[in-house]
Amino acid sequence: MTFIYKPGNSFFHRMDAVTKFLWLVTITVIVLLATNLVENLIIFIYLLLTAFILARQNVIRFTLRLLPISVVGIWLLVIFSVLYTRGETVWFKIGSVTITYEGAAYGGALFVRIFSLASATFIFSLTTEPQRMVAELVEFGKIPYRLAYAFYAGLRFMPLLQNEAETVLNAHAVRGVAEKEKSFFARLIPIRRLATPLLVNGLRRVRIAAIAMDSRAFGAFPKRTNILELSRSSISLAYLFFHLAILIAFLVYRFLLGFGETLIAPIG
Amino acid sequence: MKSAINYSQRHSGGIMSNSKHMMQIQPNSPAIHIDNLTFSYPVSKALVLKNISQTIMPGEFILLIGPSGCGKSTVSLCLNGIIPHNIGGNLEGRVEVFGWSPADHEVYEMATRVGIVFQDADSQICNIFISDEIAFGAQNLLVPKGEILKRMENVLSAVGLKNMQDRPVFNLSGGQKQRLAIGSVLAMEPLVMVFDEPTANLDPQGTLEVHNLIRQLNKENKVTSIVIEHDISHFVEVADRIIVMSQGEIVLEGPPREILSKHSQFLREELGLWIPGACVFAIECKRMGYSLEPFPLVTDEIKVDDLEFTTNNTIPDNQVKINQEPIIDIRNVSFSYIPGKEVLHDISLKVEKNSILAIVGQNGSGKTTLTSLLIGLQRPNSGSIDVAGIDATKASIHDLSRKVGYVFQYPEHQFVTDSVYDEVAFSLRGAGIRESEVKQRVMEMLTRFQLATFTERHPFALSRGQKRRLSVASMLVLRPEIFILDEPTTGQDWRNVVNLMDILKGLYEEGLTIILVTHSMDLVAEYTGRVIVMKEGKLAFDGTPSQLFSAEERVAKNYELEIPTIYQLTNRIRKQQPNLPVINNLPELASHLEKIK
Repeated sequence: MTFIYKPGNSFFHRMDAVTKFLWLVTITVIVLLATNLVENLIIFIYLLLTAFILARQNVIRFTLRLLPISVVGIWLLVIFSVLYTRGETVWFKIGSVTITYEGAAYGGALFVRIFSLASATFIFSLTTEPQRMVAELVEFGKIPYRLAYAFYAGLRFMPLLQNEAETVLNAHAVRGVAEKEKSFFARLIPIRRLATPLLVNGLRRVRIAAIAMDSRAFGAFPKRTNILELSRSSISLAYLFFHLAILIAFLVYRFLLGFGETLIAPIG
Repeated sequence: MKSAINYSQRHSGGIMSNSKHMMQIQPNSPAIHIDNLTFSYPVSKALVLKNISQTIMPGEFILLIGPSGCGKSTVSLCLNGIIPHNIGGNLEGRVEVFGWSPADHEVYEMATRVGIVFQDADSQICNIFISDEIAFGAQNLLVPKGEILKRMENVLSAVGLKNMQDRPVFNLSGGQKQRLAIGSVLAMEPLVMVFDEPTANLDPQGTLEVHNLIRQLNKENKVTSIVIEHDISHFVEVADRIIVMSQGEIVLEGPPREILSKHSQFLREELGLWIPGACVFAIECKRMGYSLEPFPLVTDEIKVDDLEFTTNNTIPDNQVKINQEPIIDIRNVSFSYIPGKEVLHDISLKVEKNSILAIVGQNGSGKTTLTSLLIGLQRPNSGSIDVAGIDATKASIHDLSRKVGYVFQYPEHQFVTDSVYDEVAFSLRGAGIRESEVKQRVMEMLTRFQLATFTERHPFALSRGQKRRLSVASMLVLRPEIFILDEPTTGQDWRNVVNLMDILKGLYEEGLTIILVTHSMDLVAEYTGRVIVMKEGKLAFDGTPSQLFSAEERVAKNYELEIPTIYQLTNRIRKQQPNLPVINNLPELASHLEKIK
């Protein structure tokens, strides 16, 4: 299942999707601006507290959700610790590879950054009801409902596509398609084999879905009846403005006052 | 299930309120009037509908039947204006639904007159939550919120999903999804409902639920109903008329008893359609020189007390071979997709060499999971599996597929090449067989499966029956010892099913072991020698079809399966004539008829 919303009555559950989405964007920019390990750790801890207190997420379950991210995080930590060549404080050497404090701190910052981005995204996904999000995008975001529905339909049909892909892969495996292909181009053939039935069935499904939606008057009028109670609280807006203020302060701190450095090139 | 929305209580609110429409409808005017309807799809000059004329009165229950591709679904799309507004094509003639012509009204306007429920519930449900799906149409029509909520409550009760409005659709059973699809159409309060093969993908329990709902909507709510189905046995008693189409034309039309008593043989043998088991028995009796009066539509109408059968011929239970060595040995197998959530619990099973085994049970009971273990698609958590001398818990799919042929439910999923010839040749080439032998074996297979004239055709361009035969041929070409088929007859005409089952019988006679995963109890009764019932991941029954179906109450109550027609009859006959031998098909039973009292 591609959506992970869990019902609840937390501050984040009550926040409208548009405000919440803008909060997510703000946090994402703040995370990307944070350059060193300490700043990233502060943001990550802040987001964890947000998840546990304001989004009322279960500590163990939320932590378990983050665990798979650590695979990417550890990979970044190791790779960038090794590749970082500007470090001066040498910790140890293995052959031609030199590990420095600066390199490890750089990798560590990236490691934590990945967790921060994942935490913010999980807070958004776990507390945002998909159909409410569509209604709020239309109501508050002024997005045409046909466009908002396209996103919603994607959430609906993605699991079906996943199941079908799995079945097709199994069916092809039984035919012997899983045999190791030799050349690069030969390796592309199974992708085409998988794509053909998925495309044919996908087109059939889209055709039926389109007929079923048209048959139920989708798109008949510029608006449709909203049956959900939608509201945008001033406290949610204040919460968003608070984070925007932090973002602006961070931008001033980084670019006007010149503190910190941009985390871009590990090799100098 | 609570009663559905009262037809007479239709609301007065909403922009597209049907009460407005109702005011325009003249008393005694037809619900549907079709006059000389001819249609061809865009980019094709072939006529899909040819001069169709028909009148359907309000509240009528119509069964629309015909071979696949005869134009049934096209007719339904002409009723609500999808044809010509959305699909286009060349349309001649006129259609009116309660006085409105789709040619003169937009699809959204026609949506309040005609609702269509399609075969594939998963494709037509376009929302994530039940409440959204029910409200969808009414929201699009700008029906006021209060009215929508009222309709939602009524519809949820009507389709048996009360108090489930906040649930996501992903976890619903097939039957629940199809009832939701019906509910979403019902909430628009259409005056006519078309059900286009609504149970083709459902298990027996889901099929029963949907059939009951359709009957209820017509009977209690007086919704004019058109049902397009392969298996009409559940509807013949309640339908007012059957309309038979063939090659774009209406070839027969009349009350079910009239149509079936006069034309059963034509429907079955000429058009290749399913007819109710009771009718099959009646025409077989007629072939033997006995006439059942009145012509029965359902088994309850057959007065078995008046029938006397010979009991001297002892027919063995089909295909049971005693003391055969097992070719599959499953011991204490458990399996879970997600840790901690077992879907198979401690299964032990031996399958004799050269036998036909049926695996039955509701969707989600573990049937397909069990068979996928035999080909190595899944590995058990515990236990051992021996397949033709290979340890299936460790062997590769490649090694197992030399011994086991596996045919999936949808043939399209298995196709891996661009031509019929290459499709059959694929496995042989993969096995390193030289091209001259490949050619010989492929042509042998294609000839046997009546596909030799389609060698260059793309597999996806074949008909439904041809696709199925190709999927079987492409798996058989490697000469496996065991052949597993997962729901091979879903959505197929009778003729296609009989062709396939004849092929399987031939393979059995050649020494193959066949495992059939199916929802069709008639097939189980007629073709298999042993049946296992899966329930909630456990092996709930293991025995012969006669042992299973003789205990009617247990089958219905514990396993929620349908009793095949042959056992519905023989169980009743045996109460009067206990010496009646085990008979597994209706022609055989008719041949035992000695006299009618």
